[in-house]
Amino acid sequence: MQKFLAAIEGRAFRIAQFATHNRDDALELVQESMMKLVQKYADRGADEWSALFYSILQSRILDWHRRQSVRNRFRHWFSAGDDEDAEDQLEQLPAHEASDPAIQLGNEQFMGQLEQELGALPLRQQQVFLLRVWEGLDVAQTAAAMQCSESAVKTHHARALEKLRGKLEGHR
Amino acid sequence: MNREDQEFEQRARMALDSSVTALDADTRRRLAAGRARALEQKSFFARWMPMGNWVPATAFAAIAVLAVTLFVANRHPDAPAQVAQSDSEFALELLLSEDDSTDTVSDPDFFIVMEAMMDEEDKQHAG
Repeated sequence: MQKFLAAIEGRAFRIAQFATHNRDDALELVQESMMKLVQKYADRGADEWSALFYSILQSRILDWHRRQSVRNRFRHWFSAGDDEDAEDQLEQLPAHEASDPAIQLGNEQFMGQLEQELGALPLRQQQVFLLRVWEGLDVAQTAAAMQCSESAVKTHHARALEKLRGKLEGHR
Repeated sequence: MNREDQEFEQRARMALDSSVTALDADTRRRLAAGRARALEQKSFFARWMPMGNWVPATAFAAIAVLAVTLFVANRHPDAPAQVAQSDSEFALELLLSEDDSTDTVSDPDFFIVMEAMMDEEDKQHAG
């Protein structure tokens, strides 16, 4: 379990960060998911942990978005459309942490735009893309994690891929 | 999925991997702390929660309760019989009580009724 969590935590954090655009919230969601996995599923086979962990994380992300939408609704009612929200959201965009010069030279520009475009995707398209492409979950595992049908996973994946390729065409 | 899509996904994967490698020290430290906390919790639950640990203790407790129950029950084995016996003794005392017979004998109606019954019997014999 220790090795599994150590291997997965960085990617899980980035996935949560793409979904929330907030570092602290992403860290909290990952920690909650790790705790739930250990508490509930430690006795399951190691080959099941990945799908279970991402299922928990996806559930946490959805809860986070629900809370945010309620909070934003109240904020909208009381602030009557100040521009402060937009500034806050800009501040909360993930900082670009590439500190390795080789990475900066190789992928910084591509990653910068990929990050931006991933952040702009609808949540489900974004998460399906990350789970399928980055985490390597198959269609059935992704559908289980996202609590949707396999055909929905395929549709979200195809749409996300199409949009991202269209936006990042210039980086070939 | 065509080859260009696969190449794009491969590149995206590499870029995303790089972004994890480039995570800052504070984020890594906090992730490691979260992991440690989760695993600590695992060792806590492993010590206290698995059913395997509770089965022998539960069985022992059940046997102890059963033993105490049997011991207490056997300590006064004739307790219910004693109650029954005391009930019957009380009834017998009532029947044989001298007070009742004294009351009956001292009641004038008793003799009138008895006399009437004896007259009736004499008439039947004579008839």
